[in-house]
Amino acid sequence: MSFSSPSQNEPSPKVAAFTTQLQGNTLAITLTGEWVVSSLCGVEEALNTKALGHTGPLKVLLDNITRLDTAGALCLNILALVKKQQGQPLELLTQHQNYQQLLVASQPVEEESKDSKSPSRFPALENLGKLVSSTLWVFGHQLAFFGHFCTTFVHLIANPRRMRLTPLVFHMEQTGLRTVPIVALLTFLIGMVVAYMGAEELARFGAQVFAVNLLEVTVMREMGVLITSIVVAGRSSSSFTAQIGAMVSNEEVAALRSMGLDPMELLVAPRVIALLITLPLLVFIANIMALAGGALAIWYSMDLSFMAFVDRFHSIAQIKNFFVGMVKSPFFAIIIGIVGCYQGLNASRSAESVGFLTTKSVVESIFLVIVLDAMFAIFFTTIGI
Amino acid sequence: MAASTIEQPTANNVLVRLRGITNRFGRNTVHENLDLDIRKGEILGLIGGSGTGKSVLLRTIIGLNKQQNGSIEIMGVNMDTATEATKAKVRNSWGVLFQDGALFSSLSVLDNIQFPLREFTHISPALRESIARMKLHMVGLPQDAAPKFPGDLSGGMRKRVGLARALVMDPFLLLLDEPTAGLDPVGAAAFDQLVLTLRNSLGLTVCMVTHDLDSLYAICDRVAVLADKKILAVDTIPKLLDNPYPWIQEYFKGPRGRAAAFGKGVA
Ligand SMILES: Nc1ncnc2c1ncn2[C@@H]1O[C@H](COP(=O)(O)OP(=O)(O)OP(=O)(O)O)[C@@H](O)[C@H]1O
Ligand SMILES: [Mg+2]
Repeated sequence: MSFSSPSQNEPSPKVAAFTTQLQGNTLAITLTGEWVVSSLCGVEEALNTKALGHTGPLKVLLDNITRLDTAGALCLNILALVKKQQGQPLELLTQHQNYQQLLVASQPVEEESKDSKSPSRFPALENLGKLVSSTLWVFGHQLAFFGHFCTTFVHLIANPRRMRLTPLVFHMEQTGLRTVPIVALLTFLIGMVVAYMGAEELARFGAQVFAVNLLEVTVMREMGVLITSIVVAGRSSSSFTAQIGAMVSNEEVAALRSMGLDPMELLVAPRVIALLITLPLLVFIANIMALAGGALAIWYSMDLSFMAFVDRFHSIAQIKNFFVGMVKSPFFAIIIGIVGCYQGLNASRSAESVGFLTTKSVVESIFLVIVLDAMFAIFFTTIGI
Repeated sequence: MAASTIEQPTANNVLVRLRGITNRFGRNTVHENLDLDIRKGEILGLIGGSGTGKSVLLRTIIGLNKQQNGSIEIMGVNMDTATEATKAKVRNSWGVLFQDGALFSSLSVLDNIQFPLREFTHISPALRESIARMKLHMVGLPQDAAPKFPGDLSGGMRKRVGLARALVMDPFLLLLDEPTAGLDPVGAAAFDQLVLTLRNSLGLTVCMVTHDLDSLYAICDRVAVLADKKILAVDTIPKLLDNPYPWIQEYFKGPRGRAAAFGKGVA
């Protein structure tokens, strides 16, 4: 009886195979072909079934094989071990010195017994507890990070010479100047939509002209700053995380620390301060663009000329709406910058963690921006602005 | 299976034959008209100053870097003209250890070692794991390193895992880029012994870039010297000692070279 591995159709000496022969009580298994890692598939299982099915002593003859490697030797050794544990000897016989050496070298290694933790009785409860404690821990950590940033910031204000100008300008360009086109286009479209929809709806009450009021309040108070912050969060907080995370996994941040330099001052401060300067400017541009888009839509739908729009806007606009929108922008800038840098510094040495944290920082910064915006809305209505 | 094309000994038992290799990066010529033969079953050391292009030469052999000129023949297969299928067979029969390990950071140590088995064979998961654990043991790592991730390992451990991965398919040809750099002397000596054992029992051919003089003396059959953009000399160490080229003299007769030679009782 014989068996050969199915990896090749025609039986050839290149393939691992074996034949068995009963000699009295002893089963003699003669191996032929190449017992190497690429040909073991199938034949290994067949050999195991055959050998374990036989009760009695076994002999495995290796002299007819053409090649053996550590994987082949290992699978024979494992089989011998299993048979030995069953109390039946299995002899691996070969004249070749190389094969003998290989058989000695390729011993199975036992996995070290893990100290198994006692399974929890309420796994759901345990997971919930873990989630809560880790969330609190992360929150506390982020707060501490923010505190550290604030002290660094104050320190930099007091010693402006320590401010690194080149990275600051670089990041202002990256996060500010290069974001202008996309922010301008998006808010222009949003302004158009708000004004157009407003005009359509208000026309039903004959209050079409109030579309300008609607546009003013929506854009100045909420839309301009919110859309801009979300775009910037998506663009900049992800790039902060990726840049700083790559530096961490490359041990560049460790190198900085070893020189006694503070990554907070070198890496985080320029980024956050750049955002702090550019985000309000972006919001201003966004407001103007949204109003322009609104004017276009109103001109189109209500046939109100541009000059008439400006007149109308001038008479109804309240400066407080503009300030409410602008005041929020530095807070959003800090959230976006801090979250992006914090996640970046959190990276471990693996490239995968950087990718994971990048996603996380975008989601978290957008989430926090919207939550803070809601809190501002409540605050401003409460104090009556 | 790979064996049919690969096992036949090529002329003079040369496993890797490089002829007229020229490598250029922009205006920086790294190799010019370089020839090198790696013989079957030998351990060849490749030495040369930093930046002379040892890593580039290894990358050229494994096809990661296309040479501007010249031909590469591995196991009798011309790597520039052969069909994709033949080249794939050759690629499956070498193991490479990169200078910094090049482990997959998203896989655990055990999965890193198993990766080639998973991709290129169909053997059962249990045997696959046994093989990976055996290789882990062979390169001298404890089994509790198996579930760790590359980011949590020391530099020396990463190198060993890289070697275990290079060895897992039991390759014919092992290309090592500074395998003992960053290992402690005891670990480096054990590593040398491991390479020697593997060569003797598996008939492996090894080409290793190394700056480790002890390694050179301990296990290399021949040493190739890379300088002046070509292989200046390939010979056994005693013969290289007589080579008048200044860099070679400095290399072997300098304070470190002397110390290593003294340890081996050569010079
Ligand atoms: N991708 C590349 N682009 C441009 N130049 C390169 C590239 N890879 C290598 N080089 C150049 O080729 C030369 C040889 O580099 P290589 O990494 O092979 O050196 P090496 O001999 O391995 O040095 P070491 O002993 O320090 O590892 C260097 O001058 C390097 O700048
Ligand atoms: Mg190198």
